[in-house]
Amino acid sequence: MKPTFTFRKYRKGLVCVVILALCMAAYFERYDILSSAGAWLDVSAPLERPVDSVMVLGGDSTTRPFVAAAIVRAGLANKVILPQLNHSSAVIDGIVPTEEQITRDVLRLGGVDANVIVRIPGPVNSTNDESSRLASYLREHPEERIAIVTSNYHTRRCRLLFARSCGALSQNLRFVGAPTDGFNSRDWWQFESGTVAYVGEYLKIAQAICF
Amino acid sequence: MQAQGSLSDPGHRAVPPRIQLWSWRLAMLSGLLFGAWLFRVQLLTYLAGVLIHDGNHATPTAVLIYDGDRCFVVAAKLVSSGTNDVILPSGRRNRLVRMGVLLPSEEIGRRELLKQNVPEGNIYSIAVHGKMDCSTVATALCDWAEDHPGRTIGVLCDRFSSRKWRTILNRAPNLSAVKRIHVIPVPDRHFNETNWWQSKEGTMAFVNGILRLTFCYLHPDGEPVWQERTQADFRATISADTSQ
Repeated sequence: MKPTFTFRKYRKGLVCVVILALCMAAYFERYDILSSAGAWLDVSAPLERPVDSVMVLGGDSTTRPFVAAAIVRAGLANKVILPQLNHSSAVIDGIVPTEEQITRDVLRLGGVDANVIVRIPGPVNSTNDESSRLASYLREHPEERIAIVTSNYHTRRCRLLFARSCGALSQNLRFVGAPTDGFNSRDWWQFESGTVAYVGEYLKIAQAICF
Repeated sequence: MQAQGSLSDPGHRAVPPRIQLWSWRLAMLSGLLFGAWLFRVQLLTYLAGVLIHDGNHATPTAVLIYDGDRCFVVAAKLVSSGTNDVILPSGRRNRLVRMGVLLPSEEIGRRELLKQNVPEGNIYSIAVHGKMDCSTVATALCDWAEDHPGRTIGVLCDRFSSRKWRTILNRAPNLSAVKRIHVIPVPDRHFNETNWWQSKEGTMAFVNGILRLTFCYLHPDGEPVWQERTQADFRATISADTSQ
């Protein structure tokens, strides 16, 4: 009997070969894939023109306030907005100062006048809370253009959440990405804190989309 | 034409074998998911247990404070129950410390221990080279243990990082020193392995713990050199014109 080639007959084998080929390609191109995955999270851009205020998001006071201070010093903003961050256990126990205090100190030492720092009322525990507080603020100040300063890998999720909370007013927002100490989008997987930050960010984006 | 599987009941309409197979797979998957949901508490508790190493419960003669909720209180309790020395790692100062915004971590530790009535003479610092993380602290601690042969040492660390600590210690070359070091996981006041999924803090701690442990297994040689950003890097992010 003449043997006939049918797709159905060899389908499982073909699927296995394709999966294996994809896995091998992914392995050999892993650095490019991981770099692209890291770069995808960063939607920040330099400020093309001055804004009215700059908002420093909570979560990393070792870098973000320095960028905010640089923006004010460069004359690109004349006001700094800070959220009212919830306190960690170490802060409650009096072991370390509050993150807001640290941010204020960095801004002061960076040449920002304490009088131009304003706090949005209402405690925040997440980026989502921060976006809700800013949305309330923007409803009272609809003409204000604000630069949001956060870590560069955090900007995509920020844009998603702030657009959701602020609606049409989100066109007044610009996202500025602060570089992180140690790692960046091209080498994050080589560092423990980079892996935690970037993989965690993907998980949080998935959560933000789903819930 | 009669389909397969209908021989015993020729009048009954046969279900094609492929659909039968998928129905069976779907039923199996549903059963597994239902089982997972039914035993979700045990499953989630077990998963968190993977992150925890809680071995030796004997009081050590020295204790190193790395991190963990209320670790200074735990250290003070150990001192009151027989531990002699409290060791604080002292690493490279970050820019907030250099600017005077924050105190160095060993200074914070010393202050908190004194508040807990730990005698000043029982508090020691060990120098950690480079960025302070588990690997560099473990290396410094092993060197200290080598210089103090009679001592047993407990490492106070966050409960969900204790497995990682044990893994890193087990990689150290000096086995005689490593054998005298045990990990003391410090529980968090807000959650533990039986309820971590009920709070944001607990979920974050679990996910971060899993990622850190995975990283630890995937990178046995540790991390490349850690470099801090400079003021020029910060300026460069806002505008090309102001970066000059």
